[in-house]
Amino acid sequence: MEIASARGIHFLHQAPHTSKKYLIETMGSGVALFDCDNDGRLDLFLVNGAPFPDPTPKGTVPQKTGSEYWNRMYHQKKDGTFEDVTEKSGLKGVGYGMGVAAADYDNDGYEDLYVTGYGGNRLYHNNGDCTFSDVTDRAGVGGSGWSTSAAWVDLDKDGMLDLVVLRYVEWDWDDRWCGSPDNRGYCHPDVFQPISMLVYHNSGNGRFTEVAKKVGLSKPAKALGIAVADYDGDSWPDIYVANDSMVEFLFHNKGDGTFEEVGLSSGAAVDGDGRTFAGMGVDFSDYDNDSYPDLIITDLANQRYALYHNEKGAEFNYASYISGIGAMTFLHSGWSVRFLDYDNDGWKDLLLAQGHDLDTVEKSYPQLHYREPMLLARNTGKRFVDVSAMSGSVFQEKWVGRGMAIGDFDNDGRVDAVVTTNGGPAYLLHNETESSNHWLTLKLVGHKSNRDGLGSVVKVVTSKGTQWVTVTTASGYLSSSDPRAHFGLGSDTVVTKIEILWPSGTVQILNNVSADQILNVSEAASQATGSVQK
Amino acid sequence: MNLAARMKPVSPKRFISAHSIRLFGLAFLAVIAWASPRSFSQQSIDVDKAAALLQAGETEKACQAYHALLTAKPANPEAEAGEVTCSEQLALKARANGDLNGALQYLLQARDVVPHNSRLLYDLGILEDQMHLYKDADLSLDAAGKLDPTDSRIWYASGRVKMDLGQLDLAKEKLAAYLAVHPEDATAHYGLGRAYQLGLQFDKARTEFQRSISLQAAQTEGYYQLGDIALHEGEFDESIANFEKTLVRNPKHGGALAGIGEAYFKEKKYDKALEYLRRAVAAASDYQPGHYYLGLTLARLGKQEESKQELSIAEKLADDENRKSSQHLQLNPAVEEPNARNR
Repeated sequence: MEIASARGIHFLHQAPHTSKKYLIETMGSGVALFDCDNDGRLDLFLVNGAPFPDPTPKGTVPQKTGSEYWNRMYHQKKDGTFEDVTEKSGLKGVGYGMGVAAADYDNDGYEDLYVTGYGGNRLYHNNGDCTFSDVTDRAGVGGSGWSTSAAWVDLDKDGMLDLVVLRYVEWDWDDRWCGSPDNRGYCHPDVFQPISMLVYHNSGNGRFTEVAKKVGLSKPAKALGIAVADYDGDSWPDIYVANDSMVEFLFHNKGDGTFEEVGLSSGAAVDGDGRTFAGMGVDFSDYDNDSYPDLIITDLANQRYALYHNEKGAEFNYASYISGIGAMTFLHSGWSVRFLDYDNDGWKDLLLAQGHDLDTVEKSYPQLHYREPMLLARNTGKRFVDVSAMSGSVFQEKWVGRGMAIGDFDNDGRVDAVVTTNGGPAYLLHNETESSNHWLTLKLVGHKSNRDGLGSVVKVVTSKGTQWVTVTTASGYLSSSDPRAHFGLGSDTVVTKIEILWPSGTVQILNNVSADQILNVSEAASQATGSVQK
Repeated sequence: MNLAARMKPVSPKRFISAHSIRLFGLAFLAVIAWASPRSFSQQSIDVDKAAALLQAGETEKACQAYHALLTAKPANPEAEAGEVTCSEQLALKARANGDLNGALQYLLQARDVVPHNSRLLYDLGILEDQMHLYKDADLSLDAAGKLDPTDSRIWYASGRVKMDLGQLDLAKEKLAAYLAVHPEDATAHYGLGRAYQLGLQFDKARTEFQRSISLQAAQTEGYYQLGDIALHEGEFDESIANFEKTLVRNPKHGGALAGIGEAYFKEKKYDKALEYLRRAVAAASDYQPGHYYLGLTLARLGKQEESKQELSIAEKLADDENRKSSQHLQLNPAVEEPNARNR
């Protein structure tokens, strides 16, 4: 059920719609679900745009001119409502914002924020009380160009989170007419040149060094979505980048401080017919519980969202047809996407934000739609089934969906979601799925590893089987999700074994853990086995 | 565009009616002749001259004459009929010579002076579809259909264009309507099968392809599509069997060769995959999936350098296809870069 307004969230994304159809107008913004003050309740950060004139002179970097353009920070109160603390938080922002990535980059126990945008990005250090200081210049992570999604990831497993920042295309406010004489449209990305991502290595003293070229991550791209997981089981985090209308990238972490781009050879760069698609959102998670993270990438209508099954780390197999994803998504355009077990049956399902990028698409293609409902696809263990129609009236509402973060904001064991829309409100989707299924959520606290435990691989064993989750906040499009690892357990009330492979290499085992709780797990000093009961 | 096929015999009843109209017309002309004694009779002479030119095989001149007539005095039925006929002939000839743009020009010029002729609009729609100008084709055929709602050929052509535009429900509707009248048309069953296939309704697609084959066993594409469906469903033996049937009639069918290669690749029979994929790229050097799967297969066989080359070709072909497909919609002579995200 959609409850944003009822819970005090009144956000309107500002995206000027000009006669020039500047591409940035339609690309939307992101959202972060994270706990800004460690009170155990998820808070909410929404990225906003900025005004620009019609036409806009080349070289312009839009600036926020009033409160309607501010990014918004909402603190969740004990009663479950949200309070707008933007002004005192110091997070109003500057410029035309795009995405956000939340993580504790300095391991001080408090989640920080990195906000991307057009013309420059900002790093906000959490002062410990949900107020933030802009430390961008000192940290050296301002960047340039048109940045999109970002991810915090410990690339070299030194215990400190590094920052990977995607960029979309080489772009300025050119007055390029795209479309027919009577129907100007947003330009296809083919019109623009690709641009490489920015990679900031965390030096540990509040400073970062840009190392994209040095580490092999500087291949020019048209990058919109990023996801992180160890796809080949070598314990090093790999990176998948969703590119728009060119081959997708899979960067294999070689473990020596460098990466190799293996998208094409791994089978995860193009669809099953060898064709490119408009990759936008991405998630990297094991949907069939075989321990190997799989991939889902959203794209535009008539392309089918791309589902890739990981074949034991050796290669990826395009599975959109046989999984049912292809048929249910053929006429849809998707942006942010996450694997999540919404019904706690032990199988990761899919939740997607949808909407076309062309606001006049129905003029030319009446079967396609600018505004689209969310899509919920249930994983039956054999294939995916579209269950949107029976999952609440919110799935009948049509939005210009873009960003999405997932997380259990009310800690009831059911994963919720926040969705942003282009030029529209943000929506808070409260998961009210009725089920007797059990669950377990783990909040990792690293010590030798980065404090958030990002990059940890958590394996949960029950009588029914085994599941794996990679701890990450990065996924989808422009957004940052709750880092807590959530597991649906079906009818099991006890998890017989939890095995955590921390980025430090430590393997920590917990036995006989009761279900239906949020468990804080502190990284053991060395290989450890423990038993935890409620 | 078979002109002979389009010449419908005039029934006696219609002839009498036409004769009546002609008599009336002549009377009318006699009256008007008082007002402009030269214009109508001159027109009549000009129409006859143009007809004579057409009869004599001077098609270009005939067209020019009809065009001039209609520009000066629109809606002359005989001139319109002549204009349509001669422009059809010129367009056919240009198309036979591979000059599609030239063919299009003739038909567009004819449409300027004969805007409401279903036969002309039908011809135009067919040609526009062939040139991947799907939106223009759609408009032409829609207009033709409104002028002659009973012409089932327009439903068929329109169905094909709707499919090219991704409007699968409409495509299926039109092709099904055509098949209700022409149930033995193997090509139409194939077309309907494609519409189902594109919408991933594989069972229905399979039925239509099989029906097409039963009506016309001597074909390749029905078998090819059955192979493709089986491949997507992971039924590799079935896919290979159907692709092999495709090759019986066309041993150099790039899609079938690549399809067999892909099936063997997915079965991890890399040596067999290699054999067929090499044949595929030799037979169809522009067929991107062939290069893609060849690249993957070479990688599995440890031939990394050659794999990189093939994957690079595949990537370039994919980029080229991307660029072309964004322009397969409408003529935009006034627009420099018709690259909107209309997909």
